Amino acid sequence: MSKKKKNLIMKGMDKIILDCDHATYLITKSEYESLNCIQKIQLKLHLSSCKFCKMFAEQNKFISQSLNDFKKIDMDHLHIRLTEEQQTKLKKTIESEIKK
Amino acid sequence: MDTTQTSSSGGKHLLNPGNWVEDHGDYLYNFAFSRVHSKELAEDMVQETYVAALKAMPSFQGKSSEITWLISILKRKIIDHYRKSSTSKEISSSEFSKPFNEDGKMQGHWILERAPKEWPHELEDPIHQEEFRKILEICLSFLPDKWKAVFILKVIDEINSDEVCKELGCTPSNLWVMLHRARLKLRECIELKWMK
Repeated sequence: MSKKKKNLIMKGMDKIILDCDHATYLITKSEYESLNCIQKIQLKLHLSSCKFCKMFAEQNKFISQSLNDFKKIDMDHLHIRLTEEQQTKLKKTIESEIKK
Repeated sequence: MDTTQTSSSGGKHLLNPGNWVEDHGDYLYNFAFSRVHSKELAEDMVQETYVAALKAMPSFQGKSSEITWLISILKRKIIDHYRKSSTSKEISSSEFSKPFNEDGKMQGHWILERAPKEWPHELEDPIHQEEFRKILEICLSFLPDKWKAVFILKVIDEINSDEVCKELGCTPSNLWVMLHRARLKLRECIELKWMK
């Protein structure tokens, strides 16, 4: 292979190979929307050889999952409840607003 | 006092403010709490929602149910809260430094001491859910206000990126940078707190 050709390939590889900073950026983005084709390949390649970013991806998913679970409101298992005191206060607010 | 809005046509939803606390109080309180992560703030938001709802009663058309309508008002309050809290102040370097090497041969790669470590499997056990959540909340509170605003509003899936940007005054690429950093910081914080 000619030197010129080799250089060209190396240059192309540089564009495909991500560092961890970029990889974690794409991992974060992929938590919210799907990546384009090139980004998917780039990330897959990176994750196949980087255990740290792989862990980052797993842990990030776990964080999202946890926040999502928290967001769901199950009336039988509420996270918190209004105390009677709070309820009275809120009722008073409503009453006085209605009278206005 | 019964101020039930009567409507002539059937099938329309009605409002009954006299029962708002009993019927929807806990639901609204939990909805707010899971998004602002503070009990005091959540209570304030519920109160503000009721006041705003009473003022908006004449414009209620009965197309959605009472609770859906109240939630839509509460959501607006949550966005307003984050918009106000995230003034455009810049993030200082003491608040965040990237966990990646800034130069040298390993530029852009994890600084070894700050790279992710294996999280214990027990973390996924539901028994530890509450504990994990508490740590998550503490770590969320350490995020710079603007990052926190972006992060939380993005988690509320009904709000898309364009809207978040419109509310908080940022560009889409800026938004991704903030989310990226917020998640780096959050992950590291959780790890440090959990392993302690």
